[in-house]
Amino acid sequence: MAMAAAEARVRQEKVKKFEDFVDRRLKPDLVNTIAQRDKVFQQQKTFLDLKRNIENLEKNGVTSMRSMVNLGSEVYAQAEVPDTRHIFVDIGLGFHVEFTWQEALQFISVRESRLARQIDEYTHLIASIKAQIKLVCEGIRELLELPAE
Amino acid sequence: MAAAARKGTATPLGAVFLPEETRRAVARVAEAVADRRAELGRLQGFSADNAALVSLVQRLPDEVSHDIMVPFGGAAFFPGRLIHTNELLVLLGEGYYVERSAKQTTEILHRRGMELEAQVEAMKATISDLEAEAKFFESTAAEASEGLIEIREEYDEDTEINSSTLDFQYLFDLSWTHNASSSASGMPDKDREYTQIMARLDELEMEENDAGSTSEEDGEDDEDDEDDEEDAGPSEDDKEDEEEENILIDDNDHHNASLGASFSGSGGNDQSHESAQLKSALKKPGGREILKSASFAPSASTPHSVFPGQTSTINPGIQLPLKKAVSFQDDNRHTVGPSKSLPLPQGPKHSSPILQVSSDNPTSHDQKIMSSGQKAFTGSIIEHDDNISTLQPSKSAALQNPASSSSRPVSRFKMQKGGR
Repeated sequence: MAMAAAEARVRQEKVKKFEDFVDRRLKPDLVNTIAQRDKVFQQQKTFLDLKRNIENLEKNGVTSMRSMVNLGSEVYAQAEVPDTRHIFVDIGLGFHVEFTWQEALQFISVRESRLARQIDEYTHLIASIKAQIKLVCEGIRELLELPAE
Repeated sequence: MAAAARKGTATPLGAVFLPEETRRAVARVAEAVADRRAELGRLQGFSADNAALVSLVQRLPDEVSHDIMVPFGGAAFFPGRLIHTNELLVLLGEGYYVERSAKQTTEILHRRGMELEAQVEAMKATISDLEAEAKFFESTAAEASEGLIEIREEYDEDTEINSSTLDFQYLFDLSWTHNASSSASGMPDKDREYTQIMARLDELEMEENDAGSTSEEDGEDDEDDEDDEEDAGPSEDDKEDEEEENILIDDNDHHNASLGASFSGSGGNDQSHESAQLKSALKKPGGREILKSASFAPSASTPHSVFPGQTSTINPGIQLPLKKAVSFQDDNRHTVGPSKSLPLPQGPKHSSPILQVSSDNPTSHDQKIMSSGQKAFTGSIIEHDDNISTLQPSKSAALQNPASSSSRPVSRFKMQKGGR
């Protein structure tokens, strides 16, 4: 009888440990990874927009343009760009490189493939974390000797 | 307990505010405070941004154009320049923009800044409120863990008219019965409780009779304490006006008190040590008589040699030096004089205070209890707070912490109850 009680207690502790692992480790990890993947999605969208804009400039042969610059707190001022043929593109780590339109488009395609690969990696990571959560939950179910769903 | 329900209730705080619940409440409030702090930081960031933008907008029309990098999407920009620097498009909200001059924009931004400041102030107020709440929770938790008991009685005019001090005693009992019943198994039945209450009342009555004499003493003590406050002044800073000291000495009826004041007041160079020693010496139960007798017998050994330069600062009142001399002589007799190297205790009674010169509080406490006549004087030099807190438990702490007063008849009752 005492054996059974001790066994039950040990099982309870194990279940508690597994649940803690899911709640404190796997789930925060999952949330974190999803947030990181969202950030990469954002970047991908930025570069996609940039590519479309440059293609537009190219198609329309725009060499000078006017735009509104956000000064902060949604206050805009007019800005003039006398020469649009040279564009500074963010290449990461705070560096900006002066490109022509063609160079910029090349760079953007390289960058896009890289971002797509990153997104794939994150997606796989998320899937594996989800699988781990599932596994641990299954383990808990087995420990509690509940019938499979 | 039916009577208790009618009369009032006594509940230990620990039962109402469970420790883990209070802890959780504290944690929750702390979390809320952290959230509000983050929000406050965000608001302050907005405020700072706004101030920076105001200064930028004010400077913009200074020139016709500014060279800038014009952003082109999120990841690229062109070299370009700001034009029409006095024409700004300001978002009013809901997607409506208005074209304003730089000056008008500044006005808008100022209004926004004021709004932000108000929000920051409101947030600060909220945070301070929450902090007060957290403090309350913490203090409640501490009180609950200390075993504080809440005694509550509904106000009822009819019963209030009939009631007298008995009510108080009844509530007193309630706390007892509760304490006892919490340790005993189950609720006591009504009859037994009634007899117990009556027994308790008898005890309290006897106690009250006994206390009649002590209460008078208390009054005396208070009076003396006031005197002592005055005396304690000079003992604390030796730069005290000497004349005042004289007045004090003349006015004071208590010989030993004035002695203490005059001595510690003139203590001068190593006052802290010697005054403490003298204190302990004077505190002795027999010390008063000794001092008294000594004070009227002028001694041959004057203090001039012991404290050169002191007498020069002292008013040439004839009484003061006399007394001082005496006090020193008294010191020497008890071997706590300036020269501490003479361990010649006069009696076993005197030796212990001398030894415990540095930590004189416990002994003083004992002595005070032993000789109520000396209470007043000893209270003058020793910190009052300590004395009060150490002396009180025998009188008032029985209310708050019944378990602490074990020597009183109360405890017999409790033991009787607990024995069941």
